[in-house]
Amino acid sequence: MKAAPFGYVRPATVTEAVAALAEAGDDGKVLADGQSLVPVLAMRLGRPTLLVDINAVEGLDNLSLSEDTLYVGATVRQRRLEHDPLTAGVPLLGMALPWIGHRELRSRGTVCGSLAHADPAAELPAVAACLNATLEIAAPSGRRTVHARDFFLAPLTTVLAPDELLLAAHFPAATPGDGFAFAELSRRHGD
Amino acid sequence: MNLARIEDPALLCGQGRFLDDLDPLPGTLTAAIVRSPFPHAQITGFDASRALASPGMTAVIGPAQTAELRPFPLSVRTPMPYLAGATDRVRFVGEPVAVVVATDRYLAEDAAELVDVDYEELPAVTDTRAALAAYAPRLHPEAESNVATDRTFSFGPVDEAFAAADHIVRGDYSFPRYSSMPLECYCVVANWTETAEGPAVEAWANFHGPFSMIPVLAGSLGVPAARLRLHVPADIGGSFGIKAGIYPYVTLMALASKHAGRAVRWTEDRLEHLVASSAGADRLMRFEAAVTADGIVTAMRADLVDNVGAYLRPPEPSTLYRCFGNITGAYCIPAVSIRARAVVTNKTPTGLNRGFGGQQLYFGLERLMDKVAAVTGLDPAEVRRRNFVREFPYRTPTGGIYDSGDYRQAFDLALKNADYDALRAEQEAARARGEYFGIGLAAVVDPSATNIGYVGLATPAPARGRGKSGSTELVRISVDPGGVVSVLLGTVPQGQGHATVARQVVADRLGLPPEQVRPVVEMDTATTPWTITSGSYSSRFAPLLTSALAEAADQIAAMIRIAGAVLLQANPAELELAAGLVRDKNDHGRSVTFRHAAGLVHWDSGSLPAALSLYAAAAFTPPQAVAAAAADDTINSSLCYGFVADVAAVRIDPQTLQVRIEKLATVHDAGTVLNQALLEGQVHGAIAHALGGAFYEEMVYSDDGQPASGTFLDYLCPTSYTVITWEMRQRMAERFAEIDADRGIRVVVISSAGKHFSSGGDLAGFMEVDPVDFTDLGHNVTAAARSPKPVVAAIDGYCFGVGLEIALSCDIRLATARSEFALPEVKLGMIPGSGGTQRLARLIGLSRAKYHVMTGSRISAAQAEDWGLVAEVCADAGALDDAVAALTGTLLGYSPLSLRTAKEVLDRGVDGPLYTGIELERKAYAMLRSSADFAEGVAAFTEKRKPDFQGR
Repeated sequence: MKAAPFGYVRPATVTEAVAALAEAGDDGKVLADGQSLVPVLAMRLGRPTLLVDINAVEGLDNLSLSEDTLYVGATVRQRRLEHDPLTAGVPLLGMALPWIGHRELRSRGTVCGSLAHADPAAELPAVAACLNATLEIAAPSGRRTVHARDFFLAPLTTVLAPDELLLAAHFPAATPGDGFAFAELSRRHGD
Repeated sequence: MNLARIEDPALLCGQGRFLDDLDPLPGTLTAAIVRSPFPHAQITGFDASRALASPGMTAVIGPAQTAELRPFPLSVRTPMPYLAGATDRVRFVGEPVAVVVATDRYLAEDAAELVDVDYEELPAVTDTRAALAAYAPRLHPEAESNVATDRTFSFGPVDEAFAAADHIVRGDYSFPRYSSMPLECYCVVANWTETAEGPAVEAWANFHGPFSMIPVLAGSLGVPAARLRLHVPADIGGSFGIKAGIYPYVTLMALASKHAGRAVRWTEDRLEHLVASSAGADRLMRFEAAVTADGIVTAMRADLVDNVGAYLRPPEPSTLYRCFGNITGAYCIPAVSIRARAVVTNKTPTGLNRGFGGQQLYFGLERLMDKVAAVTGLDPAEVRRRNFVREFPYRTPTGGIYDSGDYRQAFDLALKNADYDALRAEQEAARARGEYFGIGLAAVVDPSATNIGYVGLATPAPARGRGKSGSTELVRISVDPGGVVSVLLGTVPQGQGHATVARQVVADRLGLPPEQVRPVVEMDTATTPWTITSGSYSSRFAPLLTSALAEAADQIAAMIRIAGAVLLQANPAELELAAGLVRDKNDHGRSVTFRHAAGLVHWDSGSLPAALSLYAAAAFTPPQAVAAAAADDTINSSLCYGFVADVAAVRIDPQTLQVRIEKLATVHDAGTVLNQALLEGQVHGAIAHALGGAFYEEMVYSDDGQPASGTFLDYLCPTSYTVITWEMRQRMAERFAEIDADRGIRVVVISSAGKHFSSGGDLAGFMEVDPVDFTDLGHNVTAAARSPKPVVAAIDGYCFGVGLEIALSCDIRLATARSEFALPEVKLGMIPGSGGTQRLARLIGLSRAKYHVMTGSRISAAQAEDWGLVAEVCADAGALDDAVAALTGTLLGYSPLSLRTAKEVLDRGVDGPLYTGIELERKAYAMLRSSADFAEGVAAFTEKRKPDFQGR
């Protein structure tokens, strides 16, 4: 269970990150926490030639709440969101977050990483689709936004192209009169 | 004495030294294994040239080199040769085909991908019945079928009993293949050297026995056991029998070392472990019982078929025979016939898996007893009670000797703890509603310390060859000049706590403080005494090693008494060891220290009456362990037999199919308990493991032989989130839910059993809980506030932390004069989390609340009464009871509706503006005016009688 050889860069800006992905063609992969990516590498189920580590990119760890939107940057960890008072603006997130894996995973896992991975059994894509969150994407040609319901195409498949980076997720804040519920049925907690 | 585990501090602080942490031979290379991707195939080509050209590569061994090995000597004479790797054919997915040796594991795995193997697939079979069928694909061409062993036994008048039976009960059961997931996987370091006498192998492995595998290992290498040296590290990260199957990899790595010319290390990863290590056999069984009209089983037939995987890997077929002596379980069944078969299929070879053979046996046997109940119309618990063995010692028809027990008492205790009658009533009610509710019973005779003679049963007596018997454990004790006692344990523990128990037993025996006994866990077959039965498996440490320890300790004690006698000028027979001393039995003042006596032996041996050395070795073999009797195949397969009674109640939601364990009661008759904490750890672990085996863990194969449980995504183990129950707090909310729904309950009193009301949260459990439960914490603790019924808190003693928060959420508090109240969470770097700050401030005022919350200081009962926190202070517990009784009596006389309304209006109105509260009160008043209770109240007043309030 040792990964095959791969390249690794740690850009400082979004532009550099996107350029690195573009240069790698179809074989580059974004590394934020690596919850999904690293096991794939270790089991040699996937062999990206280049890992683009975005943890040092400026401004990606922004978490803020405006009047009507909760802005979650690409490297915001799930556990941070779980404990930040701003999350109260999107109560459904607060209900879903404790169900994601275990606290150890949430301390490294990112919200956007989970969305980009698009596992149909995952909580965050479900919440994003339910609230029709907006996903902000950086591409070589510039930035674009996609609604969640158009973002997820199929299990483990989103509209993200190999040279694109998911920059942030915008969750609509709750308005008076909104009601929320979250329930999960699984064989074990964290499945 | 109940010593805390001495192994834990090092393990918990990352100072464990597992084999992967050790580097016994600097310059050791690293191996990766090329494994078969097919369940059954002929190897038609092999080319390692590309791999050898890969960076960091040293050697590749393949089928041609594996053919240098000898087949492992099997437990039965069946032509199904088993080697450490494939030669011409592969028979399970994951079977080693080649070993690649490189400078590190990354490079080795890169090179492994470049080994070219050509396969011609053969039809595969994984299902037991399919493997037994006439035209099944045959795994071993020299064998006539896929049956590796097939033996039949009969004891007592079986056919006669069946002929005379009032009922014949038959059941077919199947038990799945699963494993125990040790945290640490297999690890091997092997070094092959050519010496003047011939080849020698020195190896390290996390192998724990049975050491009968040592000659098997040596045999495969063609090296005499004297030139095979195996080291086992002191720290092994769990096994539960699974690491007994590591020895083929020791052979394989020794072979790799031979060709690499260097020592070779292999650390198994989890993918490998899930596919190619070991597992407990899946079993098909048919049980039949001959039963009288009143439910007595007069004879039993058992047809057992184990799926042992591609090879009958030793010590298999032990899973079929380990419980031979106790195959009739806890029941007094005088006649039994058995057919035991092991079948090979294209799955991974099996081996020992925790309690091995027991899970399979008892699953079938206990289901059979349930069926006997169904057929005779008796309650399943009653059927068991009627059939239990009652007199001890008891000799089973198969030769087992149950030394002692009281099965009825233990079983009845389990039924009582589970509130069995209530469970049956609940089951009936649930089923009437169309729900699923099941109650499982198990009465288990749990064997300990296996007699190796049972291994011979797989072969008919005339062909058995040398008889085998016994179960021996060895230990050495020495004392140094400073009086420190070293206990040298060759028991190869994998986390059970052997060192802790050894220290405890020896310290006890020698009258020493525990710190003066130093256990050393070490196994080196060249220097640590071992025998064929040595090892840690089948629950043998407690009865065998401790017996050997006692004997060795007694030898040491005798020598210390002799030395002490010299110092005290006394007779050794008059001396005893206690409190770290050697002292006169009749005059405790006359003594010398143990240390002093030991020092004498070392420093001044000339003063002793005869040569002594403070070194004792002892071997213990229980007298009960004799060979399988040649004539009739009976055998006492274990030294001693414990007893376990389990009751489980499970509810399944008919729509979501979610399972809820309503109740689990377990009683263990464990004989002499050496260490309570270790016992509890074993019991809790066993429960978690049972949960895994029943609900989560299974090694699944597709019909075409591909293992489907390849990662922890598919092989599900129970985690701490599944098993931890935060019982007390969760129960509060549930209990209140029940109370609220019960119209017969009108007033609730919360008090505590024990010296204090509550000293706060259970800190250890507290830190563990998942955040989702944390948000429920407040919900639980403040259940009293949400209840519509008046809740009285009866407080005596300390009422701190969560306890005070519970009390604050009650409506009325009464306390004894000695009671004290506090919210001391600030001392832990915390704050109260269940409404404590908010309720306290509203009750005693912000200023006082701030003082007490920020300092964590206590409020006396008198002060609490003065501040209105407590309604009444009583002199003592007796007076408190009286006051509570008087209060509840008063409340019970009033309308539940008006009490409920008063509570609601007060709670909801008091925080808001006055006019909002008044409005709330007005509306509630209006509502009550139209209630029946109000009408009744007025009528009773007018008629000068007691009102009869209905709560409407």
